[in-house]
This record gives sequence, C-alpha cells and structure tokens, in this order.
Amino acid sequence: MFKHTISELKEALVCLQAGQVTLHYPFEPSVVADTFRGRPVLNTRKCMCCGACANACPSRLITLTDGGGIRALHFELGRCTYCGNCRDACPQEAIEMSNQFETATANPDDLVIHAEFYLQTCRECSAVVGSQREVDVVREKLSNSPVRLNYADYFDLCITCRRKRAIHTPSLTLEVVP
Amino acid sequence: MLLELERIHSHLLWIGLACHFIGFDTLFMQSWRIREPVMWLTEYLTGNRKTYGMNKVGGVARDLPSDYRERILPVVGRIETETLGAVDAILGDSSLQARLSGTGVISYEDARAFCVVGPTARGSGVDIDARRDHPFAAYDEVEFEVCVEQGGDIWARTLVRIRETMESIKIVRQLLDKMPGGPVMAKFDEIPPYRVGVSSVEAPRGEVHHYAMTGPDNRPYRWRVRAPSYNNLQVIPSMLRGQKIADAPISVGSLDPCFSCTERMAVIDKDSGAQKIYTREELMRYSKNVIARSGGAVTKQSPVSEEIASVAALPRNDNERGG
Ligand code: SF4
Ligand code: SF4
Repeated sequence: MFKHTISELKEALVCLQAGQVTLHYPFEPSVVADTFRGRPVLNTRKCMCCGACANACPSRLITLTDGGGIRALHFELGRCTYCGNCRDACPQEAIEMSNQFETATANPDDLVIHAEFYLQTCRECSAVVGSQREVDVVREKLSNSPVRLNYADYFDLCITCRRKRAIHTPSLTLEVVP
Repeated sequence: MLLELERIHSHLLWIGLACHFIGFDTLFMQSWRIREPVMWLTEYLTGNRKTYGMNKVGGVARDLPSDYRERILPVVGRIETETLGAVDAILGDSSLQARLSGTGVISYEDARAFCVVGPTARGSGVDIDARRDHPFAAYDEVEFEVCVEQGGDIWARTLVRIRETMESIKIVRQLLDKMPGGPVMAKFDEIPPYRVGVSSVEAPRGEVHHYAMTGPDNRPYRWRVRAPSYNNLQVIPSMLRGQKIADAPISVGSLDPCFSCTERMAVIDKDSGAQKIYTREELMRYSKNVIARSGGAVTKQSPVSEEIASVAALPRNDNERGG
C-alpha cells in the first residue's frame, strides 16, 4: 500500500516536471528541421525537361508526354514518398524538397505539378530531338566550355540524322580551342 | 543506429498506447512526450520523422549531418533519465501490475506453435532475436542483451519492452563510439535481373522478412514482406480464449499489432487500373481451387476454429530456434 502511494507520487512528479509541452498548432506554426524533406517543388525556370527525375522516381509518379509540339512534365504527388531521389537526380537543381507538410486536400489536383515545354523537332525528318530548353542548355554549356562544335546546326538534328551526317562528313568533329 | 532509435520510440509509443487501453491516460501522455524528442532527432538526421528513406541499394541515401554526435547524445541521455523516472513510477504501481499480470497470457507452447516473434515471443520465454541470431548491419559489433521474460502475460511483455528500450539506448551509445567514416554508397554497375534476395531484420515488433527479386531496368520484379504483426496476430484466438471482454483491447494491443502492415493483398488490373482487395474467403477459395486443379487433395472447406486447432496441434520442434 505504502509502496503504491510512493509510486503514485512519482508518477505525479513525472507529470509536474514536464510542464507545458503542447504547441498551439495550428494557430502557431510547427517548425520543422532544415533537413526536412517535404513536398517537392519544381523551379520551372531551371528545369529543362530532361526526364532524369522521372527515371529516378521509385513511385514512378513523374511522367513525360509528347504531343502537339509540347513535352509535358507531370508530377502526381499523391503517391509521393518524399524520398528526394528526384532532387538528387536533377542535373539542373530544379527540384527542391520544401518544408511543406500540410498536404492533406480534398482535391487531388492540388497535388499535381504540370509543366509544358516546347519541343525541338529535327530540321530534316521532324522527329523529336528533345525539349527546346534542353537543346538551349546544351548549347549554352558548350559555348561556355573550351569544346567547340564545328557545325552549330547540329543541334536541331535528331540522332538518326546526326549519324547520317557524321558518316557523310567525316570532318564533323569536336575541337578543343586553346 | 536508426533502427535502434526507431525501437526506442516505438516501445515508448507502445507503453503509451497500452496505458491508454487500460484508461491510464496520464502515462499515455507522458510516454509520448518522452518519445517526441526522438522524432525531432530523426527528422533532423534523416529528413523525416518516420519514413526515413535512408536505405538504398548499395548503401544509404545520405550521410548523417556532421554534428550528429552532439545532436544524438543529449536526446538519448534525456530519454534515458526520463524513461527511468517513468519506469520507476510504473514498476511500483500495484494497480497497473494487477491489471496487466495474468491477462493476455500466451504460454511458451502457444508462442512456439503460432511462431510469434519479437517482444511478444520474448515475453513468453522464447529466446529469439534476429539481431543476435542472424546478425545484420553492425549488430555483430555491439554488445546487447536479449531481454526475455517468462511470464507470458502483458506485464511480461511490458517489462521486455522497457528493458529493450534501455538496451537500445546502450546500443546507440556504442554505435556512436564506433561509427566509421567513409563513403555511404558502394559502387556497382547494373543490377543483374532475376536474382533473389531475402533478409530478416529485427524490427521493434519482431522479425520482418523481405523477399525481393530483381527485374530488368534496375527495378524490382517481385517483392514480398512478411511483417511481424502477421505472425503475432495469429495467436489472438488462443490468447483471448476464456478471458473477459474487458481484457480484449489491452490483450490485442499488447501485441502491438499493425494492421496496415499485415493486410496488403490488392490486385490491380494493369490495363484498366481497376483495383480489387481480396477477402480472406476469396483467397482461401482461390488457393483451394488452385490446389484442386493441380491435383491436390485439399478440397474440404474447413471452418476457422478447426484450422486454428490444427495449427495449435502441430508438433513442437525444439531445434528450430531462430531458424
Ligand atoms: S531532372 Fe530536373 S531538369 Fe530534368 S526534367 Fe526533372 S526537374 Fe527538369
Ligand atoms: S520525392 Fe521521391 S517519390 Fe516524390 S516525386 Fe521525388 S522521387 Fe518521386
């Protein structure tokens, strides 16, 4: 009996020591750690629609679809596991794992990211080369590097037409400008 | 180390829930309060409170932040003092002890017959622990005690979980001392398709088994999980037999069952995307039809009780420990 009372007093002590710990959430923000991986957000200015993220996503919720001269990058974030693979895969650092965690919604469209990019088609056979942004990024990267492409019109050719051209013009080479 | 942090917070969660089931909400609140710093800690270490997303083929997804030691040690130390305080209080609480002793008894024989795992098995005197029996990760480099209690009742399971929480804290400290530096990812080429891998990990609730078959394009082709709750739930009918209804919630709760871990039979039509969840009866019928078609003899529809009786009557094999 005596032992029981002591243990009850100890229990009371545990509670008293704690003080108030409850936050007034949602009336005050619940702060997350800076390493927190929340809902991914896409910076459409940086993204070049290369599809590396679609390849890396384990939930396969990122899709690329071509149609009407447009390549659409589409995220169905309802299935997102917040793993961050897409962010790690992106060469443009266009995806950020934000600190948003209040993603509950009645409208599935709230969990969608949709971005459309103009397609670059082949000058000769009009097959798809890639998104225009992708081609621009490559062009820009090349112009900032010591490597020069001797034939600048190579960019708007598809891979098959490039091959054909390379066979017919053996001098088509990359050249390192000192 | 993350698995041990997980065990600490899972056991504290269970202590809270168990107290909630028997109407002792004060301790429910307190043990969840004690647990919360672990959640903040793992959020800082991994980027999330629960789904850490750390394991990847070939290593871990990210390294620990550089100040991980300074972050983990105080939290673990505080949890240790606070848990000891709370445990000291509950161990002397005779009403709690009276409520939990003798309820939800799983005998050693039942525990063996139903192949329960984890703290549920160890509370019934079955000395199994995948961390010791099939050492994985760094468990062969740390010293820890496998906590076994003989009682078989809820009180014994409570004691097992309390002692394991303390063991986990010890393991985390040892791991912090021994943590090597270096790369977090191994280099490898394409993953060869159609290879099979099976692993057994001691999760907080017991052994969890994963089976995976690799497929083309570095993707899994088949994957099957057997969560510990699946084993542990089977013992419920025998555990509840002859008990008061009022004891049922805490008895079932004492297994720490995770129903969402256990039920995952969904069939998705690849073409239409339509989804269908099979019920137990449908699955039974389906498997029997398959057996009947393949020339097997099992065609009789046996009622549930008969099945359980037949499982319980299986001969006990004393050599199967840990295997
Ligand atoms: S990997 Fe980056 S650049 Fe490429 S499509 Fe995804 S977000 Fe855009
Ligand atoms: S966080 Fe993971 S699951 Fe979510 S979109 Fe990125 S890769 Fe896919």
